[in-house]
Amino acid sequence: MIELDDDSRDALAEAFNLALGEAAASFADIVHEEIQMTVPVVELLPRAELVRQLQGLPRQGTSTKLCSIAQRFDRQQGGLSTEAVLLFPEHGSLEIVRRMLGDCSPAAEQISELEQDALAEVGNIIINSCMNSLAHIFDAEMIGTLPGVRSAEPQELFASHPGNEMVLMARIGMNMLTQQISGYVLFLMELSALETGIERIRHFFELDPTPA
Amino acid sequence: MSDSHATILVVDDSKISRNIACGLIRNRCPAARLVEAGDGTEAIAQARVHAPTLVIMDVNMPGISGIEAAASILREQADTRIVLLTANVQAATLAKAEALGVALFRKPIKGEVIDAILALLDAPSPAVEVCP
Repeated sequence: MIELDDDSRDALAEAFNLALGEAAASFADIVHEEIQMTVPVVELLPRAELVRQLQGLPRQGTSTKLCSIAQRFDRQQGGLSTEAVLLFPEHGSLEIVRRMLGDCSPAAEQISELEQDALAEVGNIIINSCMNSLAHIFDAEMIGTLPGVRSAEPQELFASHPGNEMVLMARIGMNMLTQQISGYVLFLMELSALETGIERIRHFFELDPTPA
Repeated sequence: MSDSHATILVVDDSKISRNIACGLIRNRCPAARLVEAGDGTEAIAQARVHAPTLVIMDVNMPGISGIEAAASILREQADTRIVLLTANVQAATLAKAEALGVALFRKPIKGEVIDAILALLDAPSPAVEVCP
């Protein structure tokens, strides 16, 4: 069982706090209103537990599906990768697209047609704003895939991974108050990358190297 | 905008981003000729055909990146003004933009971002910085 010492946990929380704060700022820019953020949560957990947490997130409407926009980032020189996922309740996605388009908003049927493309772009902007900050902390260039958009039940989101696989999760909630729409940003780091990640973050915060 | 008859090439793999950018440009420069491309390779081809005054280029796209496409266009048409408009403003991206001598603007695409980009049509030389 991997455990994080207090300093490392604090440094990880602060690094993701900085990055996820950027996400909320970008989201506010896109939807043109203030976004209320929850306190970021950073923990080590198996993917099955992550799914249970996602199933328990508060949501409105009858659909239990989540709209997921995901990108994977790898350090240019290898050894460090992270998976970034933006999640919205399915019912909120069209409203977010409408807000994004603002005065340029086309007819309703065109919005629906462009929804996937628009959500990919929303994800791209929000996720990259976090990654810009993390790349600075990691002191590395992080190369990203293009955003992938899907609508799925929480248990389907990570179906290609073993449920007992441990990951580091950083999560923040972002609430659009006027529309009662909540979004979530997750950063997932596999354990193989965690040691390097912690080492870079400790270096950024000028902490001593991780004790052996 | 003094150069209201400019030909502006908008390059982004996101159709919605192209729509937003073109809509904002049209509001400000109704006489500008707008050309669109959905990836870097198409951008290079469109630049050859239309010889744009200004290219607004996304960075992360399928196939070749916006930075590679910009370099290719500049090799063929050195006086084309190119700006990168991207969510990826990592230090490494900024360094690549600087090496290429092109300005870099941060998404999301908003009126003030387009204003700043269009102002470059009147500027003597491109400024390399993340703005606004």
